[in-house]
Amino acid sequence: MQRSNLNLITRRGFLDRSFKTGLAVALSTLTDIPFVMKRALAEGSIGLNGKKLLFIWLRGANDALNSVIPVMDSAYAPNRPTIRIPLDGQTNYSTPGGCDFPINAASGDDTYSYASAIRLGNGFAAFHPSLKFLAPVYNAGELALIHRVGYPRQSRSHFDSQNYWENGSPNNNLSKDGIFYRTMLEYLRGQGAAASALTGVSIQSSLPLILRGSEAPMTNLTDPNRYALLGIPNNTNGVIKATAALDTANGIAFPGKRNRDLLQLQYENLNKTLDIFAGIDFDENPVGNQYGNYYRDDEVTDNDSQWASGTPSQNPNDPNRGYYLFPTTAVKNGGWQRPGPNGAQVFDKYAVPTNLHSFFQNLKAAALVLNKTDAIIAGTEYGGFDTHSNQGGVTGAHSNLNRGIGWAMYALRKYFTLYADKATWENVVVVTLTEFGRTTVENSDAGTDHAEAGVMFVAGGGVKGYGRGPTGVFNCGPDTPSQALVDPIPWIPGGADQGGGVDGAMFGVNNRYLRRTTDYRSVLGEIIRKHLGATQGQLQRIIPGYANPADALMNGGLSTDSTPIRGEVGIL
Amino acid sequence: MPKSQAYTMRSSIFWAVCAGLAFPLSSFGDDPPPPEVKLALTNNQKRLTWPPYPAAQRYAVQSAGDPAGPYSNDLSGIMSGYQWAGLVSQPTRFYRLAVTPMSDDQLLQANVLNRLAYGPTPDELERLAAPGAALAYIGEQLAPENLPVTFDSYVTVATNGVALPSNTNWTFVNVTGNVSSSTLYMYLTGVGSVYLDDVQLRLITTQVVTNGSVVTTNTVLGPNVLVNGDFEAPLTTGWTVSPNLAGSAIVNDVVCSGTGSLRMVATAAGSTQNSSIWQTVTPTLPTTRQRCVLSFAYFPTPNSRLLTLRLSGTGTIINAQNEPAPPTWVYATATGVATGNPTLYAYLNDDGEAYIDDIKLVAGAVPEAGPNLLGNGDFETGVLAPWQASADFINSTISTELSFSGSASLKLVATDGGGGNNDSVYQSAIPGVTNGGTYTVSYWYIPSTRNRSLTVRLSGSATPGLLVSSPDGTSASGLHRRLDEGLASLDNLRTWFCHQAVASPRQLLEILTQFFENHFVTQHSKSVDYFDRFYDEGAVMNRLAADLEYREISKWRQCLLNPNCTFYDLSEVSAESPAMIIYLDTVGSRGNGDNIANENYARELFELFCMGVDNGYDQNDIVAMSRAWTGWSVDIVDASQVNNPFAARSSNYGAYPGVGFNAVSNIIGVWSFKYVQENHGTNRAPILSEWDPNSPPGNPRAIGPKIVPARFGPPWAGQPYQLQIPRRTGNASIQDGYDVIRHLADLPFTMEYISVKLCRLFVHDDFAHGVYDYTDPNRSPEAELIRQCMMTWNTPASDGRKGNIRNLLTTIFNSELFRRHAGSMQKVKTPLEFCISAVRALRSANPNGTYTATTDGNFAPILSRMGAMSLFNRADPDGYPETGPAWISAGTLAERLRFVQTLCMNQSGRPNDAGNNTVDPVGLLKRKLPATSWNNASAVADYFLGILFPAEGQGNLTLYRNLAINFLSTGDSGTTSSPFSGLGNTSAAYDTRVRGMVAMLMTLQRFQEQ
Repeated sequence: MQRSNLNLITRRGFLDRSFKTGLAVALSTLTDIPFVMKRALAEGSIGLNGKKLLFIWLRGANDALNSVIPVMDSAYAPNRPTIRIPLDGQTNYSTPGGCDFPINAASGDDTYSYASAIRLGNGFAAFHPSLKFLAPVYNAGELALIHRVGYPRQSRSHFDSQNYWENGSPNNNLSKDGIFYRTMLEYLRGQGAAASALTGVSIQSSLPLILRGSEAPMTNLTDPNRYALLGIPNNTNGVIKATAALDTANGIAFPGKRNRDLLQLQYENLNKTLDIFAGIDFDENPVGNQYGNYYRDDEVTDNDSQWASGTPSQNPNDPNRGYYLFPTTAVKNGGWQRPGPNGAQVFDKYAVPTNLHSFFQNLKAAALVLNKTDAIIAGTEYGGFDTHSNQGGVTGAHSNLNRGIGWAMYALRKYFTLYADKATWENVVVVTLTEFGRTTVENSDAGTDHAEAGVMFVAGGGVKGYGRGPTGVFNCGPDTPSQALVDPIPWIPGGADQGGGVDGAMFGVNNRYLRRTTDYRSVLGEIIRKHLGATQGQLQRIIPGYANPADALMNGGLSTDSTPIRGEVGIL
Repeated sequence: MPKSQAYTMRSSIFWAVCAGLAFPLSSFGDDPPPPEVKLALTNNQKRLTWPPYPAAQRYAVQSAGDPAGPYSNDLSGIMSGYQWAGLVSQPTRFYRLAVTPMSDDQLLQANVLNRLAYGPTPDELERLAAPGAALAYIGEQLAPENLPVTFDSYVTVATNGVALPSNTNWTFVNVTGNVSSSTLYMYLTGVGSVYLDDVQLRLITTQVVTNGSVVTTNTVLGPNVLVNGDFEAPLTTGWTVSPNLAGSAIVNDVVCSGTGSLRMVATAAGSTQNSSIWQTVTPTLPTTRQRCVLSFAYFPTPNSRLLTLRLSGTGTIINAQNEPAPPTWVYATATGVATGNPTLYAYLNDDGEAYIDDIKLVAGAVPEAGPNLLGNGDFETGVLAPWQASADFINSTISTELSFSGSASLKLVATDGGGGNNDSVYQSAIPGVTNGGTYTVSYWYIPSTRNRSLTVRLSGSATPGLLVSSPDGTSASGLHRRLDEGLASLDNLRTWFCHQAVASPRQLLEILTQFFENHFVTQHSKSVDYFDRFYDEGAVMNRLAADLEYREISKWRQCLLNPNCTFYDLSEVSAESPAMIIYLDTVGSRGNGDNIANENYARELFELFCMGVDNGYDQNDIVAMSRAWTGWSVDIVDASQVNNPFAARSSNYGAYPGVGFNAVSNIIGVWSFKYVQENHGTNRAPILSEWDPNSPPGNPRAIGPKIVPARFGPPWAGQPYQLQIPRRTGNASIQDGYDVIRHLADLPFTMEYISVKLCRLFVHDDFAHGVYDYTDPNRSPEAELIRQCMMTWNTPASDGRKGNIRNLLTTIFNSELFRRHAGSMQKVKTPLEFCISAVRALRSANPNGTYTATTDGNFAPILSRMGAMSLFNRADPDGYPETGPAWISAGTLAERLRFVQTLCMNQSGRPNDAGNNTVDPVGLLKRKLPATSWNNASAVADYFLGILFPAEGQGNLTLYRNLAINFLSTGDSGTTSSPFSGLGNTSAAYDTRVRGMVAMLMTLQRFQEQ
């Protein structure tokens, strides 16, 4: 039983390379254009409506409870004696409204000098102080925080759980293609030869499972600056000779063998995408008057009026004098250089930890690819979230990781607003993924262990968050009648089947695991359906069983393991 | 449907064309069906077109006036690639296309070098061009123990006391070293006995063969120089027996080969000629840098002691052991020039300690020749003076705990890294040492177990004179020694491994090592995470984790060197490997009391290591089987106990500054498999049962055995295959795990899955498990090959056991699928295969012992860029994929192309994409082609097309050939004409042109294939 897995390739071959296939064995697969492809031709608007998706993988399992903190749950602080984030004595966390944005008035203040939980204004939850730059995004109503996200029979293995998040099939290690790959496949099947060469792109060490599949090429760039061929004998004039020979060779017919269609497809893809990427300036260093990373905020971020930046301008009236959006080097990392006492320069005020420079380099590349090309999905990752010991509280390891999340979302919003080309902020959704949450109770090493449900951040100009939809915080609100109207499964549930009914019940459930109320597939599914424009039929192929009532992924209800979950949370 | 095994040169295959219809004129058997030849008449022109035919050496258009012939080659038209055009100027003619296919020998030659090896080398292509040579290569590669490996061998005088492993079959030992004398000793290091067979000592010589302008260097293994090494004659033939071994005798109840073996029985420990069984070879052997291979097979008994075979002196020494422990005293020497105010320093590069003894400094370049200029070099005076210790070394002392000679040594203790003057243990103003003089230092040392480098040097002198006393981390032999001594990092292991892949003559062994390493996959970083709970130094954890990986592959290699190796043997190595125990979480798994066993290993044993997913087991079997593995843990034990799963934790402590004495990180020992009996849970339900659907969760109830399904056909279909593990107590319960792997090893599901994986490796990607119906008379050739593999597996080998690996491979290598078009060029190279094959493709031995392509073995960063192929560190338990789609995308192709573009070209001013790999294509072509061809673009193009694409067939390379010729005669700008014939063949332009052309060919699609 041979799996026919080169449908797209053979279809392409059928259209424009039929002269190359001389073997009966190859011809037999040529006629094997699957019915799903024909059916898909008229379906949905993925890739056609201008909508784009940027994903950020937080590898290692982010501690949800110290990111979006249920500060009003009286069990939070006692269960985390070392790592808890303290309350601000001056703040009433029950006050409804927007999110506090603790900017630092004095230029000499550290960017993250605020050392208390940041009020979110839903009467219950708060941000970790190192997520402060999420506040403007939240207050614009363009951020949704979805707590207690997981899936049935949650695996506590990094490897398995990352697999399931990526292949869209919990407890199935056999599905070898990714949820975003299948999304792109629906587009490619519909568009065929008219499809753009670039669809799904990752910027990291290798193509992640979420974009992996055997029927169509997704592109991973380990380092965008390396995505070019070298000349023979040298780069000044040899590129023409080397590339011309390669082009000619790509047009030469060959005897049929397994993998030759695949190679032909990918060589052609390389050929096409080389030109696409050649048009993007990924460089960090100035070339002539142009900079690959000159993108800057349009406001004086963090009130840092005395920041003495490097290039391009020292003019205090320069409206572009805000922080660089992508802190890829120390000079471009927040208010790193600022005047100190006695006219000295101080070099230490960073927006993000310096070890995240390479992550922001990748994030910048992903953003540029979305903005400058026809790519529909792009993403990257950063790791280090496996905080088993010495996790830290207001400062420390986890705090540093949080800064990356906060600044990334802030910067992407500004980038796609100020520098929009093919991707406007209205048309972009940014989503974070992480394989699971961490234990509610801290362990003896002042860290947290593997647990179940976690938190997802979703941002975008089209997101219906605070002030634009029912709420900006889902599954982490007070158990009040008014909250029930906007968030049917608040933090502290009413029914005993939720394992509680009393304050603190979410701590200590199932051996210290936070209980899930939303399936990650419901969140991704809502994005793929409402934002990218998949039909329900397409979604069934992208996320098997998505529209099947038994899985309750769209409409809510009882999950396959009898847990009551909400379906799509309504963020779009 | 096995085909004839006869291989003859096939004649040309013909197709005729008449009014656009094609029909074959000859039978084509296994060959692909004929191409459809089209005839078109346009504008007074006849045009024949046809699609490429696999491995076509030549296309010829023939014509005749009568369809019945006779046909003759029609030279009136112009042939270009896959078309022929001629004028319509004659009466009606009939045309046919003649295709001359590649001969079976040529096809097989390319296939074996692409699959049994990491790609062809120019020299191997020549060697295998002889009729029958490709078949002989298969036979040679299937018996790697007969192939000498010299390039990574090393000699130290260190020996150790590792106990014999409790193997159940003969173990084959084979090492290379220097001849030091003509007398071979064999003895045991204690009272005991062991069986010994097939002792061989063979000299290695180098032959330079000149054939016209072609010079080939061959390494030749000489005949066995020992008399009666196979013990088929009485013991007195050839051997002399010392009194302590008088009970030794030839026996015939336990033999490795033939009818006799030697049962050695020692009543006292041996150490030299007077306490050994010995033989002096006549005529005497040359001893000046003469390399040799010493090998033997042994079979332990319950009271075996360390078996040592060695040449008198400090030549080749081998012990019957799976892995050596860290050596005790090691000798080091170096010569250098004294400068400045001559001072001799000894220091470590970081905090730690080492022992030094008998340090000598003599004038001249000969170690120990002449009086020792140092005072107190033997450290026997009781005080350190005249040595002085600076601040970081103030704790250094004379120690009587250890000594190489006499009763004391220098215990060098560093609280921080040293660097020479004012930061070392040193001796200055040494009488007799003057500025500019040449001196030689020599000493004995015990390596620092903290992986510190010990440096001994004269002041002011750089190399020579600098002597870092740990094995070098770049040469293959230095890396090999580091690995053996447990001092190697993951990078060292990878580098050594890649050196082997490039250069080892045992290519199939290298392919199989990677295959099984990837099949029974473990992850270096997971071991590091485990060690992180005991250690606080990254380098130490890296080294310990690399040691687990190295010992694992070393055991597999040892198994594969044995003709009797079975799949069970290989899975036993995996199950017992500490790396696996850590990787799949049995390390902490408990099944006693109410504990729920970790299912991770049980699941993967079924799914990934033996039976294949959804192939004859279910979740309840996983739950039931997981208990068998509870108690399989790891611990750090004395080196002598490395193969004893019941050994107590080592109590041998180091005494490093800043580390608590009783901390695990301070223990000297080896991490090994440790059975923790109290964590073991007795199996409550038989494994591979039919299960009661109403069983309570987590505790399935069996209601009968599972039955082999009908699709397997005889002899398996309908057979029950349940495994009932008896209740065992105490340490005997370790047997539960062995019961499981022994049962799984020869189940038809396992035979099927492992055969499928091997066929995917050696034939093509499209084999599947769990779906073939072996009773279907119309089963596919793939299904048939798998069935033949299973039949071979099921047939006991000469030792009576099923699952013999060599027999299984022989079945695959004998198949039509492997030998012909179905296997040829059907696979895409993995990043590892791509990189190694690129270096090998241009690697030919020069007469002076160098090569036209070199490597430093460090492919790790390159493999990472080509798709995160992180050797020995795969995160997922399914191993790296064997199939093409997982590796080929535009981004990874860009990296592959950049690699060869950099490899071939001058690297200055460019990204260092090829690491320290170099090639010399001009040197290669000048050795292989007559001088008259050096400026002949066609000849140069043909040579490289032949070595880079040996399986493609010249008929299908004509357009590549045009590209190459055109490239050679085009200027670097890519536009101007610059005839190749006009370039001086020693000029830089000539070198650049050839390099560029080779780089161009290697960036093409066909070089991605194997």
